[in-house]
Amino acid sequence: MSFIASIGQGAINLYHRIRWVVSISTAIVQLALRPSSWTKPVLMVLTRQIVFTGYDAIGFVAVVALLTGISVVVQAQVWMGRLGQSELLGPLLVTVIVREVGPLLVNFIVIGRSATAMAAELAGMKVRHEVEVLDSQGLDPLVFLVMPRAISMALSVFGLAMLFVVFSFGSGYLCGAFLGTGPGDPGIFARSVVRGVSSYDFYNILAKTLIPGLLTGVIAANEGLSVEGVATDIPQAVTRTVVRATLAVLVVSVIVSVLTYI
Amino acid sequence: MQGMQEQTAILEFKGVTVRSASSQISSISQIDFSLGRGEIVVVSLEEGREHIPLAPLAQGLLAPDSGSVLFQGEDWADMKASRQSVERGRIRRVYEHYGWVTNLDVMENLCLAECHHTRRTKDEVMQEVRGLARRFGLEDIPEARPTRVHGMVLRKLEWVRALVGTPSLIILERPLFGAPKADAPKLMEAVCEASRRGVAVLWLTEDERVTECRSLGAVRRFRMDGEKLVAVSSGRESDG
Repeated sequence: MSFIASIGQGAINLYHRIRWVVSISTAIVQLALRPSSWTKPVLMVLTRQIVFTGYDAIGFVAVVALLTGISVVVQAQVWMGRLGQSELLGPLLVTVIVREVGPLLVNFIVIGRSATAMAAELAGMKVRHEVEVLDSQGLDPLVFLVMPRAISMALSVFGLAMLFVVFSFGSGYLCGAFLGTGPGDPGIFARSVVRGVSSYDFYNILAKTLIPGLLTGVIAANEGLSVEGVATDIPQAVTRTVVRATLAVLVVSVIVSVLTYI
Repeated sequence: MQGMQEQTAILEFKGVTVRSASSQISSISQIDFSLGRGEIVVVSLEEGREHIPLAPLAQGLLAPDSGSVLFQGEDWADMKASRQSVERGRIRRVYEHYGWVTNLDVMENLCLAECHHTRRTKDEVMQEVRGLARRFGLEDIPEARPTRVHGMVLRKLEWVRALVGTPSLIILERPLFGAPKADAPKLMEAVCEASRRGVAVLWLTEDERVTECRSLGAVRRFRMDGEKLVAVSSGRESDG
Protein backbone atom coordinates (compact mmCIF):
# COMPACT_ATOMS: atom_id res chain seq x y z
CA MET A 1 0.00 0.00 0.00
CA SER A 2 2.78 2.39 0.95
CA PHE A 3 4.52 1.58 -2.37
CA ILE A 4 1.39 2.46 -4.33
CA ALA A 5 0.87 5.51 -2.17
CA SER A 6 4.41 6.70 -2.85
CA ILE A 7 3.87 6.29 -6.61
CA GLY A 8 0.63 8.25 -6.33
CA GLN A 9 2.31 10.94 -4.25
CA GLY A 10 5.13 11.16 -6.77
CA ALA A 11 2.63 11.58 -9.60
CA ILE A 12 0.79 14.30 -7.68
CA ASN A 13 4.07 16.12 -6.96
CA LEU A 14 5.08 15.87 -10.62
CA TYR A 15 1.71 17.25 -11.69
CA HIS A 16 2.06 20.19 -9.28
CA ARG A 17 5.61 20.92 -10.48
CA ILE A 18 4.56 20.86 -14.14
CA ARG A 19 1.55 23.05 -13.42
CA TRP A 20 3.77 25.51 -11.51
CA VAL A 21 6.37 25.75 -14.29
CA VAL A 22 3.68 26.15 -16.96
CA SER A 23 1.83 28.84 -14.99
CA ILE A 24 5.06 30.79 -14.30
CA SER A 25 6.05 30.49 -17.97
CA THR A 26 2.64 31.79 -19.02
CA ALA A 27 2.91 34.67 -16.56
CA ILE A 28 6.36 35.51 -17.90
CA VAL A 29 5.14 35.61 -21.50
CA GLN A 30 2.25 37.86 -20.44
CA LEU A 31 4.64 40.14 -18.55
CA ALA A 32 7.07 40.22 -21.47
CA LEU A 33 4.30 41.35 -23.82
CA ARG A 34 3.56 44.32 -21.55
CA PRO A 35 5.80 47.26 -22.53
CA SER A 36 5.65 48.69 -18.98
CA SER A 37 7.58 45.63 -17.72
CA TRP A 38 10.65 46.64 -19.70
CA THR A 39 12.11 49.33 -17.49
CA LYS A 40 15.75 50.33 -17.88
CA PRO A 41 17.06 47.99 -15.14
CA VAL A 42 15.05 45.05 -16.57
CA LEU A 43 16.45 45.72 -20.06
CA MET A 44 19.93 45.84 -18.52
CA VAL A 45 19.42 42.37 -17.01
CA LEU A 46 18.08 41.06 -20.35
CA THR A 47 21.07 42.42 -22.26
CA ARG A 48 23.59 40.98 -19.82
CA GLN A 49 21.92 37.60 -19.85
CA ILE A 50 21.83 37.48 -23.66
CA VAL A 51 25.53 38.33 -23.70
CA PHE A 52 26.28 35.57 -21.20
CA THR A 53 23.92 32.88 -22.52
CA GLY A 54 24.04 33.69 -26.22
CA TYR A 55 27.05 35.71 -27.27
CA ASP A 56 29.60 34.14 -24.92
CA ALA A 57 28.48 30.65 -25.95
CA ILE A 58 29.00 31.20 -29.68
CA GLY A 59 32.55 29.83 -29.66
CA PHE A 60 31.66 26.61 -27.89
CA VAL A 61 28.50 26.07 -29.94
CA ALA A 62 30.51 26.68 -33.13
CA VAL A 63 33.06 24.01 -32.17
CA VAL A 64 30.32 21.49 -31.33
CA ALA A 65 28.52 22.36 -34.58
CA LEU A 66 31.68 21.91 -36.63
CA LEU A 67 32.36 18.50 -35.13
CA THR A 68 28.73 17.43 -35.47
CA GLY A 69 28.67 18.61 -39.07
CA ILE A 70 31.76 16.61 -39.91
CA SER A 71 30.48 13.40 -38.36
CA VAL A 72 26.82 13.60 -39.42
CA VAL A 73 26.97 15.30 -42.81
CA VAL A 74 29.94 13.32 -44.09
CA GLN A 75 28.39 10.01 -43.01
CA ALA A 76 25.10 11.00 -44.61
CA GLN A 77 26.88 11.90 -47.84
CA VAL A 78 28.76 8.62 -47.92
CA TRP A 79 25.78 6.38 -47.14
CA MET A 80 23.29 8.15 -49.37
CA GLY A 81 25.84 7.96 -52.19
CA ARG A 82 26.34 4.22 -51.65
CA LEU A 83 22.59 3.63 -51.57
CA GLY A 84 22.16 5.68 -54.70
CA GLN A 85 19.83 8.06 -52.90
CA SER A 86 21.90 11.24 -53.13
CA GLU A 87 18.79 13.28 -53.89
CA LEU A 88 17.55 12.47 -50.37
CA LEU A 89 20.65 13.98 -48.76
CA GLY A 90 18.98 17.36 -48.19
CA PRO A 91 15.80 16.08 -46.52
CA LEU A 92 17.84 13.66 -44.39
CA LEU A 93 20.21 16.37 -43.18
CA VAL A 94 17.35 18.74 -42.45
CA THR A 95 15.61 16.03 -40.46
CA VAL A 96 18.70 15.12 -38.46
CA ILE A 97 20.40 18.49 -37.97
CA VAL A 98 17.62 21.08 -38.15
CA ARG A 99 14.81 19.15 -36.51
CA GLU A 100 16.60 17.06 -33.93
CA VAL A 101 20.33 17.28 -33.24
CA GLY A 102 20.76 21.05 -33.52
CA PRO A 103 18.02 22.17 -31.11
CA LEU A 104 18.73 19.31 -28.69
CA LEU A 105 22.47 19.88 -28.47
CA VAL A 106 22.09 23.64 -28.14
CA ASN A 107 19.51 23.19 -25.39
CA PHE A 108 21.85 20.83 -23.53
CA ILE A 109 24.75 23.25 -23.93
CA VAL A 110 22.67 26.11 -22.55
CA ILE A 111 21.51 23.97 -19.62
CA GLY A 112 25.07 22.97 -18.74
CA ARG A 113 26.60 26.35 -19.31
CA SER A 114 23.98 28.92 -18.34
CA ALA A 115 21.03 27.37 -16.50
CA THR A 116 23.34 25.95 -13.84
CA ALA A 117 25.00 29.33 -13.41
CA MET A 118 21.61 31.04 -13.23
CA ALA A 119 20.31 28.63 -10.59
CA ALA A 120 23.45 29.09 -8.49
CA GLU A 121 23.36 32.88 -8.88
CA LEU A 122 19.70 33.19 -7.86
CA ALA A 123 20.13 30.70 -5.01
CA GLY A 124 23.06 32.77 -3.75
CA MET A 125 20.94 35.90 -3.91
CA LYS A 126 18.19 34.17 -1.95
CA VAL A 127 20.64 32.97 0.71
CA ARG A 128 22.11 36.48 1.09
CA HIS A 129 18.58 37.99 1.35
CA GLU A 130 19.22 40.03 -1.79
CA VAL A 131 15.87 39.02 -3.25
CA GLU A 132 14.24 40.68 -0.25
CA VAL A 133 16.37 43.78 -0.84
CA LEU A 134 15.05 43.95 -4.41
CA ASP A 135 11.49 43.27 -3.32
CA SER A 136 11.68 46.00 -0.68
CA GLN A 137 12.70 48.48 -3.39
CA GLY A 138 9.62 47.59 -5.41
CA LEU A 139 11.45 45.38 -7.89
CA ASP A 140 9.22 42.33 -8.26
CA PRO A 141 11.56 39.30 -8.44
CA LEU A 142 9.40 37.78 -11.20
CA VAL A 143 9.81 40.92 -13.31
CA PHE A 144 13.40 41.79 -12.48
CA LEU A 145 15.03 38.40 -11.91
CA VAL A 146 13.02 35.70 -13.66
CA MET A 147 11.43 37.29 -16.74
CA PRO A 148 14.53 38.78 -18.43
CA ARG A 149 16.56 35.66 -17.70
CA ALA A 150 13.95 33.26 -19.08
CA ILE A 151 13.29 35.40 -22.16
CA SER A 152 17.00 35.80 -22.85
CA MET A 153 17.45 32.07 -22.54
CA ALA A 154 14.68 31.41 -25.08
CA LEU A 155 16.11 33.95 -27.55
CA SER A 156 19.66 32.71 -27.03
CA VAL A 157 18.74 29.07 -27.62
CA PHE A 158 16.98 30.05 -30.86
CA GLY A 159 19.90 32.16 -32.08
CA LEU A 160 22.49 29.55 -31.15
CA ALA A 161 20.46 26.78 -32.84
CA MET A 162 20.36 28.75 -36.10
CA LEU A 163 24.09 29.27 -35.83
CA PHE A 164 24.56 25.58 -35.09
CA VAL A 165 22.67 24.58 -38.25
CA VAL A 166 24.70 26.91 -40.48
CA PHE A 167 28.04 25.88 -38.95
CA SER A 168 27.34 22.15 -39.06
CA PHE A 169 26.16 22.21 -42.68
CA GLY A 170 29.15 24.36 -43.61
CA SER A 171 31.68 22.14 -41.88
CA GLY A 172 30.03 18.97 -43.20
CA TYR A 173 30.11 20.22 -46.76
CA LEU A 174 33.74 21.38 -46.53
CA CYS A 175 34.85 18.14 -44.94
CA GLY A 176 32.95 16.11 -47.56
CA ALA A 177 34.52 18.14 -50.33
CA PHE A 178 37.96 17.66 -48.81
CA LEU A 179 37.52 13.88 -48.50
CA GLY A 180 35.84 13.60 -51.88
CA THR A 181 32.65 12.09 -50.45
CA GLY A 182 30.33 15.05 -51.05
CA PRO A 183 28.66 16.46 -54.15
CA GLY A 184 31.59 18.81 -54.75
CA ASP A 185 29.57 21.67 -56.17
CA PRO A 186 28.39 23.82 -53.22
CA GLY A 187 25.35 24.87 -55.28
CA ILE A 188 24.16 21.26 -55.54
CA PHE A 189 24.64 20.75 -51.81
CA ALA A 190 22.84 24.00 -50.93
CA ARG A 191 19.93 23.24 -53.30
CA SER A 192 19.65 19.75 -51.86
CA VAL A 193 19.39 21.14 -48.34
CA VAL A 194 16.99 23.94 -49.29
CA ARG A 195 14.73 21.42 -51.09
CA GLY A 196 14.57 19.44 -47.88
CA VAL A 197 13.33 22.41 -45.86
CA SER A 198 9.58 22.90 -45.46
CA SER A 199 7.58 25.51 -43.57
CA TYR A 200 7.08 22.91 -40.83
CA ASP A 201 10.80 22.95 -40.18
CA PHE A 202 10.64 26.63 -39.38
CA TYR A 203 7.86 26.09 -36.82
CA ASN A 204 9.68 23.00 -35.59
CA ILE A 205 12.91 24.79 -34.80
CA LEU A 206 11.02 27.72 -33.28
CA ALA A 207 9.08 25.35 -31.00
CA LYS A 208 12.16 23.29 -30.10
CA THR A 209 14.23 26.30 -29.13
CA LEU A 210 11.95 29.02 -27.77
CA ILE A 211 9.75 26.77 -25.60
CA PRO A 212 12.52 24.64 -24.03
CA GLY A 213 14.69 27.75 -23.63
CA LEU A 214 11.91 29.50 -21.74
CA LEU A 215 11.19 26.40 -19.64
CA THR A 216 14.88 25.99 -18.84
CA GLY A 217 15.05 29.60 -17.65
CA VAL A 218 11.93 29.18 -15.53
CA ILE A 219 13.13 25.88 -14.03
CA ALA A 220 16.58 27.33 -13.22
CA ALA A 221 15.04 30.43 -11.65
CA ASN A 222 12.50 28.40 -9.73
CA GLU A 223 15.10 25.97 -8.36
CA GLY A 224 17.44 28.84 -7.46
CA LEU A 225 14.82 30.91 -5.71
CA SER A 226 13.38 27.94 -3.83
CA VAL A 227 16.55 27.63 -1.73
CA GLU A 228 15.69 28.66 1.80
CA GLY A 229 18.51 30.50 3.47
CA VAL A 230 21.17 27.75 3.54
CA ALA A 231 24.20 27.93 1.23
CA THR A 232 24.69 24.17 1.33
CA ASP A 233 21.39 23.77 -0.57
CA ILE A 234 22.78 25.58 -3.62
CA PRO A 235 24.52 22.57 -5.25
CA GLN A 236 21.33 20.53 -4.90
CA ALA A 237 19.35 23.29 -6.59
CA VAL A 238 21.85 23.25 -9.47
CA THR A 239 21.58 19.46 -9.80
CA ARG A 240 17.78 19.61 -9.81
CA THR A 241 17.97 22.28 -12.49
CA VAL A 242 20.03 20.05 -14.79
CA VAL A 243 17.78 17.02 -14.30
CA ARG A 244 14.47 18.82 -14.63
CA ALA A 245 15.49 21.11 -17.49
CA THR A 246 16.93 18.15 -19.44
CA LEU A 247 13.67 16.25 -18.96
CA ALA A 248 11.65 19.28 -20.02
CA VAL A 249 13.75 19.72 -23.17
CA LEU A 250 13.36 16.06 -24.12
CA VAL A 251 9.61 16.00 -23.45
CA VAL A 252 9.03 19.17 -25.50
CA SER A 253 11.27 17.82 -28.26
CA VAL A 254 9.36 14.55 -28.46
CA ILE A 255 5.97 16.26 -28.43
CA VAL A 256 6.99 18.70 -31.19
CA SER A 257 8.51 15.89 -33.27
CA VAL A 258 5.36 13.80 -33.00
CA LEU A 259 3.19 16.80 -33.89
CA THR A 260 5.43 17.52 -36.88
CA TYR A 261 4.99 14.06 -38.35
CA ILE A 262 1.27 13.44 -37.71
CA MET B 1 -10.32 66.58 -1.56
CA GLN B 2 -6.73 67.75 -1.61
CA GLY B 3 -6.96 68.52 2.11
CA MET B 4 -8.22 65.02 2.78
CA GLN B 5 -5.31 63.54 0.86
CA GLU B 6 -2.85 65.58 2.86
CA GLN B 7 -4.39 64.33 6.12
CA THR B 8 -4.10 60.66 5.12
CA ALA B 9 -1.30 59.06 7.10
CA ILE B 10 1.62 57.83 5.04
CA LEU B 11 2.04 54.85 7.32
CA GLU B 12 -0.31 53.44 9.92
CA PHE B 13 0.08 50.47 12.23
CA LYS B 14 -3.24 49.30 13.74
CA GLY B 15 -2.95 46.76 16.55
CA VAL B 16 -0.15 44.91 14.78
CA THR B 17 1.02 41.68 16.36
CA VAL B 18 3.68 39.34 15.00
CA ARG B 19 4.39 36.07 16.72
CA SER B 20 7.94 35.08 15.94
CA ALA B 21 8.37 31.87 14.04
CA SER B 22 12.06 32.24 13.24
CA SER B 23 15.34 33.64 14.50
CA GLN B 24 15.07 36.34 11.84
CA ILE B 25 11.98 37.94 13.34
CA SER B 26 11.35 39.20 16.88
CA SER B 27 7.83 39.13 18.24
CA ILE B 28 5.92 42.37 18.61
CA SER B 29 2.51 42.92 20.14
CA GLN B 30 -0.32 45.40 19.61
CA ILE B 31 1.73 48.07 17.86
CA ASP B 32 -0.22 51.26 17.11
CA PHE B 33 1.15 54.40 15.56
CA SER B 34 0.76 56.54 12.51
CA LEU B 35 3.15 58.64 10.52
CA GLY B 36 2.01 61.64 8.53
CA ARG B 37 3.64 63.65 5.74
CA GLY B 38 6.78 65.37 6.94
CA GLU B 39 6.73 63.61 10.30
CA ILE B 40 9.62 61.77 11.88
CA VAL B 41 8.98 58.88 14.24
CA VAL B 42 12.01 57.73 16.21
CA VAL B 43 11.77 54.29 17.79
CA SER B 44 14.45 53.52 20.37
CA LEU B 45 15.53 49.92 20.48
CA GLU B 46 17.18 48.13 23.33
CA GLU B 47 20.83 47.53 22.66
CA GLY B 48 21.43 44.18 21.01
CA ARG B 49 17.74 43.62 20.25
CA GLU B 50 17.63 42.87 16.56
CA HIS B 51 15.12 41.81 13.94
CA ILE B 52 12.27 44.02 15.15
CA PRO B 53 10.09 43.60 12.06
CA LEU B 54 8.76 47.15 11.80
CA ALA B 55 10.46 47.81 8.45
CA PRO B 56 9.27 44.67 6.64
CA LEU B 57 5.78 45.24 8.06
CA ALA B 58 5.82 48.88 6.92
CA GLN B 59 6.76 47.73 3.42
CA GLY B 60 4.18 44.97 3.26
CA LEU B 61 6.90 42.33 3.04
CA LEU B 62 5.66 40.62 6.19
CA ALA B 63 1.99 40.03 6.97
CA PRO B 64 1.07 40.58 10.63
CA ASP B 65 -0.56 37.76 12.58
CA SER B 66 -3.21 40.26 13.63
CA GLY B 67 -3.87 43.92 13.00
CA SER B 68 -3.16 45.80 9.81
CA VAL B 69 -0.53 48.02 8.24
CA LEU B 70 -1.73 50.80 5.94
CA PHE B 71 0.47 52.63 3.47
CA GLN B 72 -1.00 55.88 2.20
CA GLY B 73 -4.38 54.81 3.53
CA GLU B 74 -4.46 51.38 1.96
CA ASP B 75 -3.91 48.05 3.68
CA TRP B 76 -0.98 46.13 2.21
CA ALA B 77 -3.09 42.97 2.51
CA ASP B 78 -5.69 44.41 0.12
CA MET B 79 -3.21 45.29 -2.63
CA LYS B 80 -2.33 43.07 -5.58
CA ALA B 81 1.33 42.06 -5.89
CA SER B 82 1.92 44.41 -8.82
CA ARG B 83 0.41 47.31 -6.88
CA GLN B 84 2.54 46.45 -3.84
CA SER B 85 5.67 46.71 -5.98
CA VAL B 86 4.64 50.14 -7.26
CA GLU B 87 3.93 51.35 -3.71
CA ARG B 88 7.23 49.98 -2.40
CA GLY B 89 8.87 52.10 -5.05
CA ARG B 90 7.80 55.12 -2.98
CA ILE B 91 9.68 53.83 0.06
CA ARG B 92 13.41 54.04 0.66
CA ARG B 93 15.19 52.08 3.35
CA VAL B 94 18.51 51.79 5.12
CA TYR B 95 18.76 48.15 6.12
CA GLU B 96 19.68 46.83 9.54
CA HIS B 97 21.90 44.28 7.86
CA TYR B 98 23.46 44.03 4.41
CA GLY B 99 21.25 45.77 1.87
CA TRP B 100 23.02 45.35 -1.45
CA VAL B 101 22.65 43.26 -4.58
CA THR B 102 26.07 41.79 -5.16
CA ASN B 103 25.79 41.07 -8.88
CA LEU B 104 25.29 44.78 -9.59
CA ASP B 105 27.96 47.39 -9.03
CA VAL B 106 27.54 50.07 -6.39
CA MET B 107 26.25 52.77 -8.74
CA GLU B 108 23.74 50.39 -10.31
CA ASN B 109 22.52 49.54 -6.82
CA LEU B 110 22.17 53.21 -5.97
CA CYS B 111 20.19 54.04 -9.13
CA LEU B 112 18.17 50.83 -9.31
CA ALA B 113 14.87 51.78 -7.66
CA GLU B 114 14.80 55.30 -9.11
CA CYS B 115 15.50 54.06 -12.66
CA HIS B 116 12.91 51.29 -12.31
CA HIS B 117 10.06 53.38 -10.94
CA THR B 118 10.55 56.72 -12.67
CA ARG B 119 11.27 57.99 -16.16
CA ARG B 120 14.43 59.77 -15.04
CA THR B 121 17.54 58.98 -17.05
CA LYS B 122 20.36 57.10 -15.39
CA ASP B 123 22.67 60.08 -15.90
CA GLU B 124 20.25 62.33 -14.08
CA VAL B 125 19.96 59.91 -11.16
CA MET B 126 23.73 59.40 -11.06
CA GLN B 127 24.21 63.15 -10.86
CA GLU B 128 21.88 63.34 -7.85
CA VAL B 129 23.62 60.36 -6.27
CA ARG B 130 27.04 62.00 -6.64
CA GLY B 131 25.72 65.24 -5.13
CA LEU B 132 24.29 63.42 -2.11
CA ALA B 133 27.45 61.35 -1.71
CA ARG B 134 29.61 64.51 -1.61
CA ARG B 135 27.35 65.78 1.14
CA PHE B 136 28.41 62.80 3.25
CA GLY B 137 32.08 63.25 2.42
CA LEU B 138 32.29 60.76 -0.44
CA GLU B 139 33.93 62.42 -3.42
CA ASP B 140 33.71 59.37 -5.68
CA ILE B 141 31.32 56.46 -5.95
CA PRO B 142 33.38 53.24 -6.04
CA GLU B 143 33.25 51.54 -9.44
CA ALA B 144 33.04 48.07 -7.96
CA ARG B 145 30.68 45.45 -6.67
CA PRO B 146 29.49 46.11 -3.09
CA THR B 147 31.52 43.18 -1.73
CA ARG B 148 34.72 45.06 -2.73
CA VAL B 149 33.76 48.25 -0.89
CA HIS B 150 34.49 49.08 2.74
CA GLY B 151 31.51 48.68 5.07
CA MET B 152 31.73 52.26 6.33
CA VAL B 153 31.51 53.61 2.78
CA LEU B 154 28.63 51.27 2.00
CA ARG B 155 26.76 52.46 5.06
CA LYS B 156 27.01 56.09 3.95
CA LEU B 157 26.02 55.07 0.43
CA GLU B 158 22.91 53.46 1.91
CA TRP B 159 22.03 56.91 3.29
CA VAL B 160 22.50 58.28 -0.22
CA ARG B 161 20.22 55.62 -1.70
CA ALA B 162 17.56 56.35 0.91
CA LEU B 163 17.53 60.04 0.00
CA VAL B 164 17.57 59.76 -3.81
CA GLY B 165 14.45 60.97 -5.60
CA THR B 166 11.17 61.92 -3.96
CA PRO B 167 10.04 59.05 -1.75
CA SER B 168 6.94 59.23 0.44
CA LEU B 169 8.56 57.31 3.27
CA ILE B 170 12.12 56.68 4.40
CA ILE B 171 12.80 53.83 6.82
CA LEU B 172 16.11 53.99 8.63
CA GLU B 173 17.02 50.80 10.49
CA ARG B 174 20.00 51.58 12.74
CA PRO B 175 21.51 53.79 10.00
CA LEU B 176 24.40 54.95 12.20
CA PHE B 177 25.61 51.43 12.90
CA GLY B 178 29.07 51.10 11.35
CA ALA B 179 29.20 54.75 10.30
CA PRO B 180 31.65 57.37 11.55
CA LYS B 181 30.29 59.34 14.50
CA ALA B 182 31.29 62.58 12.86
CA ASP B 183 28.85 61.98 10.03
CA ALA B 184 25.77 61.47 12.22
CA PRO B 185 24.81 65.19 12.21
CA LYS B 186 25.04 65.21 8.40
CA LEU B 187 22.53 62.38 8.19
CA MET B 188 20.22 64.04 10.70
CA GLU B 189 20.38 67.29 8.76
CA ALA B 190 19.62 65.49 5.49
CA VAL B 191 16.70 63.65 7.10
CA CYS B 192 15.32 66.93 8.48
CA GLU B 193 15.49 68.45 5.02
CA ALA B 194 13.66 65.47 3.56
CA SER B 195 10.96 65.75 6.23
CA ARG B 196 10.55 69.46 5.46
CA ARG B 197 9.89 68.42 1.86
CA GLY B 198 7.04 66.24 3.18
CA VAL B 199 8.79 62.87 3.41
CA ALA B 200 7.70 60.73 6.37
CA VAL B 201 10.59 59.13 8.26
CA LEU B 202 10.58 56.03 10.47
CA TRP B 203 13.91 55.90 12.31
CA LEU B 204 14.77 52.80 14.34
CA THR B 205 17.78 53.30 16.52
CA GLU B 206 19.61 52.34 19.67
CA ASP B 207 21.91 55.33 19.29
CA GLU B 208 21.63 58.04 21.94
CA ARG B 209 22.65 60.68 19.41
CA VAL B 210 19.28 60.20 17.78
CA THR B 211 17.12 59.55 20.81
CA GLU B 212 18.40 62.67 22.54
CA CYS B 213 18.79 64.84 19.48
CA ARG B 214 16.47 67.84 19.65
CA SER B 215 17.43 69.28 16.30
CA LEU B 216 15.29 66.86 14.30
CA GLY B 217 12.13 68.43 12.87
CA ALA B 218 8.55 67.40 13.69
CA VAL B 219 9.36 64.28 15.64
CA ARG B 220 7.58 61.79 17.86
CA ARG B 221 9.53 59.36 19.95
CA PHE B 222 8.73 55.82 20.99
CA ARG B 223 10.68 53.00 22.51
CA MET B 224 10.31 49.26 22.24
CA ASP B 225 9.55 47.91 25.68
CA GLY B 226 9.70 44.15 25.23
CA GLU B 227 7.14 43.45 22.53
CA LYS B 228 5.25 46.71 23.04
CA LEU B 229 5.77 50.14 21.54
CA VAL B 230 5.61 52.84 24.20
CA ALA B 231 5.32 56.56 23.50
CA VAL B 232 8.17 58.56 25.00
CA SER B 233 6.97 61.92 23.81
CA SER B 234 3.45 62.05 22.53
CA GLY B 235 3.60 65.70 21.54
CA ARG B 236 5.39 67.01 18.51
CA GLU B 237 8.77 68.53 18.97
CA SER B 238 10.10 71.05 16.59
CA ASP B 239 13.28 72.95 16.17
CA GLY B 240 11.05 75.85 15.21
